[in-house]
Amino acid sequence: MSKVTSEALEIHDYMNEKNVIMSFMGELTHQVTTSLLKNLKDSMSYSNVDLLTQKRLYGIIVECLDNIAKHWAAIDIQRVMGRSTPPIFMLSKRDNYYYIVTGNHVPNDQVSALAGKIEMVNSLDKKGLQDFYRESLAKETPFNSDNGGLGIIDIALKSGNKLEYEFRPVTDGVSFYVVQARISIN
Amino acid sequence: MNTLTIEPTDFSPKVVLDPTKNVFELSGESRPENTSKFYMPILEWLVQYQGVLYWEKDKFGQGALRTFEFKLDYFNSTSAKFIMDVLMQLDKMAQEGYNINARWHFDKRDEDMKESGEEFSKLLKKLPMEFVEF
Repeated sequence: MSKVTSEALEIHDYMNEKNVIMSFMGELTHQVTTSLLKNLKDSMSYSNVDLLTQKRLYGIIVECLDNIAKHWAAIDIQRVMGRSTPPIFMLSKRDNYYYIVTGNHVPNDQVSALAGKIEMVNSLDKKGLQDFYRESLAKETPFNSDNGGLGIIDIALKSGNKLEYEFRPVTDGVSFYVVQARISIN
Repeated sequence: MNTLTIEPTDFSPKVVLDPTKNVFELSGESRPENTSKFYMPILEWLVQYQGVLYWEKDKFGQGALRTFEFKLDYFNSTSAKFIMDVLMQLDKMAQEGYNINARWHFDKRDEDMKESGEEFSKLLKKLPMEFVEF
């Protein structure tokens, strides 16, 4: 077996073992996102998962993909890293949960703000999240930014579980940022 | 005043704002690539329409009820802010005494869509919002 073949098989076996339903690594343009979502919608429509869970999963994935697309666009991480560092998205299913994981590089000076945001939503219950959502909705003016900060609250609301995250330092200035949301399957 | 019609795509909703037929509707999925660019013409149209209502009321007295239908299947969080803006503009018109209301449609299996509508309505001062289950 050639090296390339065995590598591909290794990746395939690993993903299979982890029950990966869908994964993508590369630049997440709106077009790519749309095609991933279309795929997901089609496969969900044949599943026996209830509509509410399907819609919540869909919503979480949209926000996660939007988030990494924004990170990608906002920072010149390739220049800092000196190489291309595409983000990764992965959807898997195990133990009656869907797991949605995204990973992307972020500059270290954003780490505390990102961590703070997640800690904040993790500290709130459903009512707290709804109040926070409403406050953000009323406060934000959409004209100067496309990113409301609503995304992470929306993910937490739809997930119904705490978000998990980790920052792993890669260079002096850059960390790899992983967020995981999960949603129970009804 | 012109009718504003936007055909739906996989990621943007159908929009019909037709003052001659009194049909006002936003339906489908909303996660446009450029949310601001998508919603700006809608918001501008509504501001213009407020002028039409002013003129109508001035000439003929209170007009017939205008109902704005929201039949959304899904919207992302960025769209939520713009939908809020649309509702705020309608609320402003209601506060100025024009005869308008909103109807928020939701699939009975989709409690989140219902709750989103309820969250929006909590931020409105005057606009009557009716919830329609299907």
